[in-house]
Amino acid sequence: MADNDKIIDEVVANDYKYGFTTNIEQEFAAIGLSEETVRFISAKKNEPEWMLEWRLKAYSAWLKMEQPKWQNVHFPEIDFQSIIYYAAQKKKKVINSLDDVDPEIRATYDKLGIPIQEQKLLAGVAVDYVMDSESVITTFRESLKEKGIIFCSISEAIREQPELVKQYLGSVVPQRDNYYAALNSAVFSDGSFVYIPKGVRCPMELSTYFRINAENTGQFERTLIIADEGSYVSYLEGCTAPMRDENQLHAAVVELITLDNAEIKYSTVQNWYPGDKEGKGGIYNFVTKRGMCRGKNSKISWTQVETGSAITWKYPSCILKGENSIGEFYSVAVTNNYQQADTGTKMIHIGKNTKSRIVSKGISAGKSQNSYRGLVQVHKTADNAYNSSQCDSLLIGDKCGAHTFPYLEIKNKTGRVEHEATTSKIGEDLLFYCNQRGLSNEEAVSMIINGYCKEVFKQLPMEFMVEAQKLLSISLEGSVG
Amino acid sequence: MSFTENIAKQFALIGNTNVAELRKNAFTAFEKLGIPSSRHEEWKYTNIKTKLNEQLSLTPVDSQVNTAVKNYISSLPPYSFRIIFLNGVFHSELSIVPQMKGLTVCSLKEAFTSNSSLVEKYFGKLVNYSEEHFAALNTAFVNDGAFVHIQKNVLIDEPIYIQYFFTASDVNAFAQTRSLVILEDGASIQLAEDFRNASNISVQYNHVSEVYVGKNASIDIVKLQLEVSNAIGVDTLEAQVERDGKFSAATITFSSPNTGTGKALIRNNVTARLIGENSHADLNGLYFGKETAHIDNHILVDHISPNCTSNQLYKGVLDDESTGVFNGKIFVKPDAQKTNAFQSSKALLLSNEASINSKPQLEIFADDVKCSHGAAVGQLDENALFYLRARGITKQEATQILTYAFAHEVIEHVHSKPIRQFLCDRLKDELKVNF
Repeated sequence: MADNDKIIDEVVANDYKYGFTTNIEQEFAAIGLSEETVRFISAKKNEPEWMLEWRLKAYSAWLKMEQPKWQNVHFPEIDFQSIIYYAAQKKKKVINSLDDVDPEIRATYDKLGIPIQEQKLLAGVAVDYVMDSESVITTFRESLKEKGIIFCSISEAIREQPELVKQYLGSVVPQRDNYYAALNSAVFSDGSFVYIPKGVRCPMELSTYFRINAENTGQFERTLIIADEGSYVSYLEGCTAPMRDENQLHAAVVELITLDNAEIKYSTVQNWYPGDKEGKGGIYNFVTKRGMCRGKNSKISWTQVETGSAITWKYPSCILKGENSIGEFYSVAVTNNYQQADTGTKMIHIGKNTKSRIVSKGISAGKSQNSYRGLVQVHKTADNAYNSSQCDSLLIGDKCGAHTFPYLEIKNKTGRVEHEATTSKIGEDLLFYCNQRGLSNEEAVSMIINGYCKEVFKQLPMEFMVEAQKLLSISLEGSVG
Repeated sequence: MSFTENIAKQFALIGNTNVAELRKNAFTAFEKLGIPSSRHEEWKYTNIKTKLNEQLSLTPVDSQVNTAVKNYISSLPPYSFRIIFLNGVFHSELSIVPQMKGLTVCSLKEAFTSNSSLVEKYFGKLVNYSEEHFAALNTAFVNDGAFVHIQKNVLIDEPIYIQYFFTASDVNAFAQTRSLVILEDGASIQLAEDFRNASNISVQYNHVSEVYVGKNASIDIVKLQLEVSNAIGVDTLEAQVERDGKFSAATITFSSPNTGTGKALIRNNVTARLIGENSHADLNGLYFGKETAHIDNHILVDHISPNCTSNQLYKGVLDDESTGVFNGKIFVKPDAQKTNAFQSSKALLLSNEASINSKPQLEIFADDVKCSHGAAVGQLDENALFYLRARGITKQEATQILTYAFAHEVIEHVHSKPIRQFLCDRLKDELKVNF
């Protein structure tokens, strides 16, 4: 047992490996939030009038809203007037090749272990880096353009694709959807926009790396992905953030739309700064992610690996409106030390013969709290809807907590909903078996946990799968239940 | 007169009676809590506020025994213990209470004087009236109910049958009834609480049962709500189980076709607190919803000590425009290592207007545990139906047989033989099967 304690101590003492800051000259909006701030951001982005109005509408809705209190995470009240809502890099030069990128930023990427050239050359990934709020570089744009795929920053899309943006922005997550979505709608500074035209299968995985970089700057990303009829796209999102003492707020909004026979696969690996081992600092990750299967036979699949953030609070959801549409949610959420996670999904069945699948794996260690919260709703119109949910929780140590809050609301007699959840620790017999075969406790636990999460990991694209496994061992290596 | 003024005025009329201090505290709590609306998380799917009458009359009315009551009593199996209440008032002439060594069975009103020290020690100590709206109201206004005390190592084989009839002539009447059951160490008992609307108008009641299970004691309690289609009822059952104790409860709700007032609403709160090591809780439920009935089962199993086990099995069959709610919570406190807790909730939807809202919840703070829950909503197995039909059984019959099998699993958990038999017969009647 003493051995175990030592290992646990070591793990808990594990410092955040990606904590460092980059010095880049920034241009800030005045501190605090007012109508002025919204106008400032909109003006900074050279946005058309309709966009400013859209933002202001969100802002006035936000003013009337109250912060939600139902969540199973606790944090001191956020002072929205002490946040800087806009920070852009000052140097605005045209970037043609990677060599033109600020060497500081390049160094950051290297420290993160993102082999940008290699990715570009070998993996064929077009990367849209977002350093704070401004897109730095977009690669592979030309080759995507050939197929008619639009992959650019949302600000650019607002300027250049106003019709698409007008039609779809806020169509899945309306401005007044919830407190943080309203805030995001008012002040979002940048994010990604993807449009896949009819019948096109995106030839490569699209990916974005977000980093929060300026102190006291909340980051409000906005992502909009539209898959037109018969198209397919796989989108990856990965995050790491530098070490900070003060809590930082991240309130992003992601909207996905699939039309007839289209499919979107959205994968996230999130490893933001979780705070130190006393629970000080760390990122607040309050995200609204929602996909709408509008068309027949369309499909949206969410995969997430959440290891970072002091507080993770998000529910990537699917509205299954089109007939025969499919929603999927695969999640691994790991919490250690004082981290808190309240995450899950919503599957709203509206169309006939819609199907959804939920696989959620929660791992809690240290003094953390990990919650799964999910909603499966079968509307009257959703004949033959089918949902299967599997939510497993693993507890490592006796000071953490695991919670499951599934809501099942069925209003159609032909609906079939199956929900199963289990909570347990790593079986001693499993550990013993591994020990017997010469594996140390640490190796055995890592192996068992990786096996436990495999169902989710195998949904990730190759390069993410490797990264996810690495993250998991960093977060938990040596923990023995 | 506003709702609160009306309640306050009635509370003042109770005066300085037994457990006055407790009543006062509970009333203060209720004034703060009020009647919950659907904005309250625990009442999210059950909007009782709009169903209850605005002007509630909480003073008990002593009513005449009508023929419906008499007929039902004569239809009951010949129980040796029978305690009958009419609109919350004890009727000794209808009750049968034989004297037995080590067992006290009487009305709560009587117990307030004859067993005052016991009552003071246990009454109102289990229910959380500072948070539970209806437990607070009941604690403040309770007039009468059943008192059962069983001494150390006394085993009673015969079930004790407690019957609460409601025949309110006043539509605003909101009966507040209560049972207090105390099992000393090593005692064992079987108990049934039967709630019945014996009139043709809508009735409202609010019942609280407090059950203390001593070390190595065991109780099997069955709540029967077999004729509640024209009633609004809130039933709160709170149990505390000490070391090696066993608590088993079954809640059976049938809402048969009614006169069409559309007001049937049943809310059952069942809480089992496992405070002693190696204690066990077994909670089961079966509900049949018809017409516009609304049946809500709220379960909480609180694992406080190590090595405890709990099992939950809830099954529902919902037809017409009925709605079912299942909210099952399992709490495992940090000290409750080696806990095994299981929960299963299943519902059959027979009509497209019926709906079910299910929220099985786990909150675990200890690591060496095995907890699981499963919730399923669906229809009868097509293959099973086909199997029966291939053997010449009509579709209707096959459906009845399979529904019977589905529901019977819960009844099997009732330990008391006469009550189990009684329920089997009732289930057969309900499904119109003969075998």
